[in-house]
Amino acid sequence: MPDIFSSSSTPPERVQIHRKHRLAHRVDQEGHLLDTNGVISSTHKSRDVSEYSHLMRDMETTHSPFASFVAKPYKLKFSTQAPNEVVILLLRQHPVTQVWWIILALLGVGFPFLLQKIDFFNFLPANYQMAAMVGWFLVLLGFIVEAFLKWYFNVYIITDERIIDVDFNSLLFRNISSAKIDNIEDTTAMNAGFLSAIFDFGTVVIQTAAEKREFEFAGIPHPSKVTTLINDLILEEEREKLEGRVS
Amino acid sequence: MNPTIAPIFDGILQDPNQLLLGFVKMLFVVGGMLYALFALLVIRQIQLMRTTVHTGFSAALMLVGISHFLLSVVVVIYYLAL
Repeated sequence: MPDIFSSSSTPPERVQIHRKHRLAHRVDQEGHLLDTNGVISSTHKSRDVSEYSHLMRDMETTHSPFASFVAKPYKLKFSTQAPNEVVILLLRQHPVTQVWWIILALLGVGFPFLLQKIDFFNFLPANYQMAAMVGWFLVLLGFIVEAFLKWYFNVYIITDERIIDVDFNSLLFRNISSAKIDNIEDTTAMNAGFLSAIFDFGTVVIQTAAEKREFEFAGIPHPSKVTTLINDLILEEEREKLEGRVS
Repeated sequence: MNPTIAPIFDGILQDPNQLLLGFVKMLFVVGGMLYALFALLVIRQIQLMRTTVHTGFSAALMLVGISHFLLSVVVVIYYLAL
C-alpha cells in the first residue's frame, strides 16, 4: 500500500506541518485558499520537489549545458510551460548512444586523405582537388551540426505537473506530446544489453490515460531513477488531491 | 558569335579538358549554393528549437548556426573564383 494511505508510516513532523497549514489557511466563498491576512494564498499550492522526493533532495542543480541527466535545470524554459510549472528533470539520450555519429565523423575526416593517398582525384588540377576537399569538410560539418542539434533538442522533460516529449524528427518537423502526472498509469524501466548495463542507460516506457497512450523515453541515463521520480510525483499528486492542494 | 565570349569557346574547343573543368566548376558552385540554402534552413531550425526549449546555451548555438551559414557563403565565393 502506498505511504499516503498509511497514517502510521507518515513522519510525525510532516503531519505537524500539514496541520499548521490547515490552521493557517482558510477558504473563501469561491474556493480560493486564504492566508492568515485573508489574502489569496500563493504558498499553499504545491510543494518543492525536494520536500517529497528523496531522489531530488540528494541532487544538486545541474549547470552543465551538455549533461544528459539535468536535475532541477538552470535557466530552462519550454514553449508550452505554464506560469507556475516547475521543471524538475530534463533528459537527453545518453552520450554513449551518440557515439555512432562521432565515429562516422572521425572516419569522414580521414576519408579525403585516403582518396589522396590512392591518387583518386589526380585527373583534376590541384586547385580543384582542394575545392573538393573543402566541399567534403563542409558537408561533414553540416552532418555534425545536424546530429548535435538533434541530440541536444530532442528532450524529455518532467515537471511537477506533466511529462513532455519533444521530438525534432527532421529539419523542420517538431512534435511535442505531453501527459499530466495524474494520467500516468504505469511506468517501466528497461536496461538491455552490455553497454546499457555498464553505463546505466535504458528506456522508460510510460503508459498514460492521455491522448497519447504511451511515452517512450529512449536511451536515457538512470532509467530506474526516472521511474522513482515519476512514482514520487504520482504520490504527491494523490496527496495534493487528498489535502485539497490541487492547483 | 559575340566577340567577348568567342575566345572562351575557342579555348574549350581547342582543349576538351576546359569543358570538363567548366562542368566540374559548375557542379561545385551549384552544390555550394544548395549547401548555403541548407545552412539557412539550419538557422531556421535552431530558431524553432530555441523557442521550443530554451536553455542557457541556446544563444551560443544560434551563433554556431550563423557561423555555419557564413562559412558556406565563403565557400560558394571560393568556388566562383576557381
